[in-house]
Amino acid sequence: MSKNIICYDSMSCIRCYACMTNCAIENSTRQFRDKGYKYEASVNEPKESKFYLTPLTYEYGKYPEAQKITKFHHCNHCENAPCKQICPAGAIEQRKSGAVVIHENVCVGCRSCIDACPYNVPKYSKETNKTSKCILCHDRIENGLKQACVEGCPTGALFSGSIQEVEQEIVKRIAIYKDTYNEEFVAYGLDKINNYVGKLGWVTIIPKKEMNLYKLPENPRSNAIALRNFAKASAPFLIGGALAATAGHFIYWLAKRKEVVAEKEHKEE
Amino acid sequence: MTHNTNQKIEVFNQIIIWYHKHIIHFMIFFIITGLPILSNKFSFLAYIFGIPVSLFAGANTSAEILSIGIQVARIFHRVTALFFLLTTIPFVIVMLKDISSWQIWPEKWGIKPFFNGFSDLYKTYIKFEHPEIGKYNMGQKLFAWFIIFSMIVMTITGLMLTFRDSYTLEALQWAKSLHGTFFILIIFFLIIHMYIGTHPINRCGLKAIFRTGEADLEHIKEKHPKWYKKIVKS
Repeated sequence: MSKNIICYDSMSCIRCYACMTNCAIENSTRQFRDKGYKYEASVNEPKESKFYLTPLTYEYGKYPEAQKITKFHHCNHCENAPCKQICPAGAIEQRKSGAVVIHENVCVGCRSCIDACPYNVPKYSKETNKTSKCILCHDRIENGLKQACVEGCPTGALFSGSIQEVEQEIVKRIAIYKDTYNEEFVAYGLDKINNYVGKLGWVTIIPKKEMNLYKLPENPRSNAIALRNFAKASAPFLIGGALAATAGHFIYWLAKRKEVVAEKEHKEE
Repeated sequence: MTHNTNQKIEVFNQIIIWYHKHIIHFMIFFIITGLPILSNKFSFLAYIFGIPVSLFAGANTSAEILSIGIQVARIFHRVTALFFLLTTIPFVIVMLKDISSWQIWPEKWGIKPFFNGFSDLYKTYIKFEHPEIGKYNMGQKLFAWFIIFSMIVMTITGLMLTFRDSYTLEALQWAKSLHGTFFILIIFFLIIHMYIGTHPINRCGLKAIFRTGEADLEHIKEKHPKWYKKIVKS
């Protein structure tokens, strides 16, 4: 299975939220399929934590120049997946398709993934003591289907496929938008963003000038968790250094002691 | 006033000996339960906890056993923290009453005494001589202050991580980061502390902290001249 990524094209999006509805329906039926819920229960008792794709609306400026921006809040399926790296229970898996998946049956509810995520994505449910987030419909794509959100999109604003396919489409669309609107556009996450997240499995096409309005961070990282990662990476050298220094000192002390004893014996003779 | 050099001097009182013994037990528990939470390189420890519990919990896969092991480690970590607090609070109260007699304060402040402290360390551990030091040398004093500071950091951040719902995400991220970072630093300094503490040149101190709490005045005269002068003076 090759890597599969999603692209959200904000310019083609008509804000119908069909993607979000389809995502919620898919997750409800997953409960029916995976957890043995009765079908009625799985659709009648929607769990907030099962809404993997949600809208965040921000308003900027004042009337009549007011502008409303709706950001789609979702897991970006980071290449370096900080959530996976920090999870102590091994509950987060990065599948061959690139999907970063939380296995709820082994999640211990420690919320480390929430601490590590620079996009504030995983949701914790007190009821289940588990954390959940978008699973990139790995079960669907591994069976030849598109992600539920992609399938629900009526305008092609959400599209997915292999990296090459999606990249080609992105290049094509950005060229058209540049010509049409005469401004810069970016494909956020197509190239490596930083060492903390790497590339993203969910790319967003937006006008460059609106990056801040969409609250897409240029350098997504948690400095605190990055420090912790640095400390962890340094630990073998630090601990190894301490062990080597103490062993070296002990050998040095033995050699010195031999000298002192020999000198003492020599004096006594 | 004359002093008999065979006289025994109290180096550590009974509460210090009692606390030091218990802190070793706590450290062992904190380390073996903290390592699998800090890094998946120590997952084998989680499996050690998880395998016996999974027999009752009905876990089948190795991922489930690891998950149970991490849960067990987290519970043990928190229970150990509770006992650590119950032991530390009375110890701190007793010690604070006697704060003026702590011998981990610098004898003199300034750049020159600081470099002299390094010179004393060199003489003690490289040349194996007995420089003019008090009860503790500069390295021991710095270690003591590091341990006091790091215990405060570990306690505060540990409590924050236990009662997560009361703090912001950013505060929790820093708490998690400092808890892990100080854990690694503590391990580093503990290795050195255990080595120096159990080294033959420190036989007398080792006996005092684990058994008698006392040292011969003759020993103090030879190895801790400044402290000897204080004892004679008092």
